[in-house]
Order: sequence, then structure tokens, then C-alpha cells
Amino acid sequence: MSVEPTIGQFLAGILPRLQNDTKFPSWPPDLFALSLALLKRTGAYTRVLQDWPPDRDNEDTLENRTSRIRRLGGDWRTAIRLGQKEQFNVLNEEWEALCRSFDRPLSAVRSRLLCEAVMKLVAVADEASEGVGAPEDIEEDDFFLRATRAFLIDYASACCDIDPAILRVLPRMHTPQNGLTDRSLSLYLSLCDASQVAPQWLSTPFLGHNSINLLLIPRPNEVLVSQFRDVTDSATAELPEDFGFFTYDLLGYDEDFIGRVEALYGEAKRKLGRIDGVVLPELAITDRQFRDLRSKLPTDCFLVAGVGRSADAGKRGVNEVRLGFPPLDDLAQKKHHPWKLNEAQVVQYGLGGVLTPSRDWWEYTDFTDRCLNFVSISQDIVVCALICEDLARPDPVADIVRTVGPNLVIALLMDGPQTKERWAARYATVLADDPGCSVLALTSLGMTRLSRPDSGLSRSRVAALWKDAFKGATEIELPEGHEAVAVSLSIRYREEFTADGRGDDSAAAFPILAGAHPIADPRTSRTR
Amino acid sequence: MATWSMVLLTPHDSSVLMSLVQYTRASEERQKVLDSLQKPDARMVAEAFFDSQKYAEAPEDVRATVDHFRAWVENNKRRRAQREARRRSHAR
Repeated sequence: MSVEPTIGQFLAGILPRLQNDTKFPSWPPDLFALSLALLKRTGAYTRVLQDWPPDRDNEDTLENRTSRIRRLGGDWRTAIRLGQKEQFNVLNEEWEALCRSFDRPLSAVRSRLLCEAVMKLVAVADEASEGVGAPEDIEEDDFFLRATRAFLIDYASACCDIDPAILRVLPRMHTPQNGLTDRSLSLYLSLCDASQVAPQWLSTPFLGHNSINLLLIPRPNEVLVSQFRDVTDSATAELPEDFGFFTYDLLGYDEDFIGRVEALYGEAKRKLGRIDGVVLPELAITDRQFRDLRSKLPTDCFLVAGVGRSADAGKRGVNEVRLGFPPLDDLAQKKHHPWKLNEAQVVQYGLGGVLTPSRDWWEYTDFTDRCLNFVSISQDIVVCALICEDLARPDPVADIVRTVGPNLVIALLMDGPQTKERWAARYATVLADDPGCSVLALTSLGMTRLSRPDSGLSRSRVAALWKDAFKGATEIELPEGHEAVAVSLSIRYREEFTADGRGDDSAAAFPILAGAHPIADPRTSRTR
Repeated sequence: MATWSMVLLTPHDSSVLMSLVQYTRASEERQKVLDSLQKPDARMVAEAFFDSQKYAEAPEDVRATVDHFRAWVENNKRRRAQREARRRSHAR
């Protein structure tokens, strides 16, 4: 027979000192984590929100409640700035109501009065945390923002007293505007369960404009069947007979690679005036090429690229996204899920000569040490990158992505043409719908050319796809003779609301596709 | 394009430096913050940022990082102005 834990036991599991010290948690993300964890576990908010706001009988309006909550959040922030957070006591009544319930079972949170109190704690802690996770703001020497920024970098959580091995609180960029979940209850903070994925949060005021220009280079232009190789016999893991391991060999060092990218960058800059970032797809380049390219691109241009190494002598290969945001050390994030090539895909890519279609083939790569990087490039734009399968699989990474709601998700793929009906568009649509991320998917021309459709014409020049919260998916096609495409993203702002009716004053930022310009290498196009 | 050379920083050091360059601090407090830097090069960046003499004498890679931080400060100013303008228009 199961015994329901008490509220006190549940909360002490998150913050052990509550067993004998019920002092009010004076750091907003700590209170947020405790209170929202209670609501998430019990689902109590669904009941209370059916009759909202709480004091309607006393003619209290939603607008009045929202103003009060905001003011309290602002007061708390001021108290922290003045070094008086211990004296902030206006939430004592709600906190003490919760503490008096410590001996009651968890389900007691569903009682209206207690749930209203907990929801108020969540809301005020959230309002007190506005701006958390963003780069430094020159005009505001705000101790709370500085401290949370340091906590996020060192512990990947904004909490002060709650161990990130138990719960993490990360910044929030989008609040879902559809459905009703615990994620619907906050604008500025997100609650993440302890996870096998280690998030990393970085803030860098990289972006100085209200738009982002990206140069997408879908290289390699050619992928050979012979680059796929059966490594089952040399693998260090055994598989049942119907399965095998494969690796993908990146071609040798291309002496002209850097020169070609430089030429494409120069041409894109000539056309658009400024390029903020260069993106290359999954397994596009080697470690050395990344380093060489990083050192050549201007320092005000970031680089996001799929970097790889094939499996060799039983040693698993490398498949990771590398993020270069100078002067930060480069960040690496391994792919989380192996690609499984089934019969249909072996045939689609014409790989039957090297990988028999009678087996399913697992990518032989190192998938340990899962992490997820969030890079805050301005006060309102957070970018994260995913590799291929990681966009499609709901766990373990998608939970964190949905909870944080990064403004721009860059998916690096090794896939066929990025047409609207294919899988990447479906999963991009899910993220655009909830929580509201804009998604850019990019594959290589080599893979799109290798891919043969079941029927109809090949769309082998559709190397990228864009999806945002406002429009349907947009295919990005390169005309013949062009090796890259420069896309302009402008930032649209829209007000998002929590389920308890608080708005963010149109602070939620949505990158939207505002232009796509094919780019040819001027050195070769001149001679054509 | 020429190859650049720049002092690369850990996220921790970058954050500490960004805090330093954003706020005018008493030199005593600044000293304490400088001690929390992880890489020796990061300290050189901070010192060159605040001292024009040291900047002039610093190696090229240190100066490049200092210049980058100056650009970041400008980015912040510009984005803040844009944000304020947006807030004003939303409030109307």
C-alpha cells in the first residue's frame, strides 16, 4: 500500500533544512522551485484556475491582482538590491499557511485556500526574477541579476539553496500560450527536474541589433555512399544478428574549404551588410576545420557547426555541435541519440552496397555526457542547438527545451531535403506551437542529393527549413550554382500571458524569417 | 580575412569580466573580484580594460579581447535603448 508523503516531507526532499528550519526562502528562485514543484506534483492549479481570480466575490479584479503581484515582485527585488532580503516579509502569511500544512498529505495542496497561497508564492517569485539570465545591463547594477548569472554559469541553476542535483531553476524565454501545464504559470523562471542532461547557461551580449543575419552553408556539397561504413565487427558492443553498427567518414582536409567559406562570408556581407553567425550542418567539418574556420571568421560573427570524427579501430566516433562565441571558449555538445538507419532509409540514400538493407544500422558514436547549451546573446534572445535525432526524440532533452523555450533553436541535420512534409518540419512545428520557439533546420546538399524520393521529383536543393510561431513552415531552397544562403531574421515582440493572467508587456521575442538570399562563391561565379 | 588572435575565456571568467567592465567599482572591490578569475590571461584583460597604459603595452590577443568587451558594452547600450523604446510604445 502506498503512503502519500506529507507536504513537509515533499518540500524537505527539495530543501532539507525545512525539516527543522522553516524560515522563509528569501531568494526568489528557491521559493519558486519549492512552490511550483508542489503545484506540478499535485496539479492543484488546474482546479483553482477554474474560478479565478481568487477574491472575485470581494470584487477584486484580475487587473488588481496582477498589479499587486508585480508590485510585490518589484519590492522583493528592491529589498535584495538594498541587502534587505531577510526583511522582505510580505509573503509571510502565505508561507506560514504552507508551513502549517507540513503534516498534511500532499493532496491537501488541492484545497482552495492553500493552493491560492502557493500560486501567489510562485507568481511573486516569478515577477521578482524578471530579466534573469540575460547579459549584463549597463544601466542597472542589480545584485540579483549578477548573482543569478553567476549561479547559472557555475551551477546551471538560478537557485541559491536548492541543490541542482534535485531541482534546477533556469530562465524562461517563452510561456506556452496553448494548453495548461505547470509551464503556463511563469514568465521569467522555469522549473527543470533533475535530469541526465546537464544544461549550461551562458550570457554574452553578442547581438547589438534588432535582427540576426545568418549565413547557412549546407556543406558538404557531395556525400558518397562509400563514406558510410560497417563497423559492426570492430565495435566494443554486441548487437543481435539483425542489427549492425555504421560510421560516417568525413572526407580528408579540403585545402580550399576555408577560402570558400571566407568568399561566401564576404559575398553575404556585401549583400546584407552584416553577418552575425555562420551555421553548418551535422558532421559537416572536422575539429581542425572548425578551429581554422573559427580563427578566420571575424570575432563579431559566431559559428555553430556540426563537427565529427569517424569511428576507428573499435573507438566510437564523435558527432557534436560546436558553438564558437568569441571570446568565450568554444562549447561542445554531443549528439544525444544515435541515428538508426532502417531498410527504408538505406534504400532512400542508396546505401545498400555498403550497409545491407536486411539489417537496422545504429550510428557508432559516443553518446555519453549529455549536455545542452543555452546561449543568451542579448537581453531577449536565447539560442540553443540540437543535432538531428535530438529534435525528434521527446526525451531527455526536449523537456528542458520546452521548459526554457529558447527563442531560436538551430537543428543541425544529416538528412534529406527539408521539405514541409518531412519529419523535421513536424517536430519544428511542435516547438513553435509550444512553447513558441523559432526553429531553423539545416542539412547538407550532399545528403539532399543522395536522398531519392519514393515518388515525384527530387527537391534536392531544399537544404533548410524555417518554422516560427506565426507562419507555416518555410522551405529554403538554393538555386543551382549557389553554395549558401544568407537569412535575415527580424525580431517580433508579442505579449505572453501566464495561466493566472499576468502579461509580460510584450517582452517575448520571436525571431521571424524576413529574407533569404542565395549566395554563390564570387570566385567561381565570376568565371562561369 | 586575417587570422585573429584573442584571449579565450571560460564562461565564469567572461561573466566576471563583464560584471567588472559594466560597473564602476572601487579599486578595492575590483581587486577582490579579479582574484576570482580562473585564467591568468583573464586578469590581464581586466587590467588592460581599466588602464590605458597597460592596454598599450598588452599583447595583441589581450587587446583584441578588451576591444571585444568594449563592443559588448556598446551592444548592451544599443539593445537597452531599443528595449526602452519598445516599452514606451507598449505603454502608450
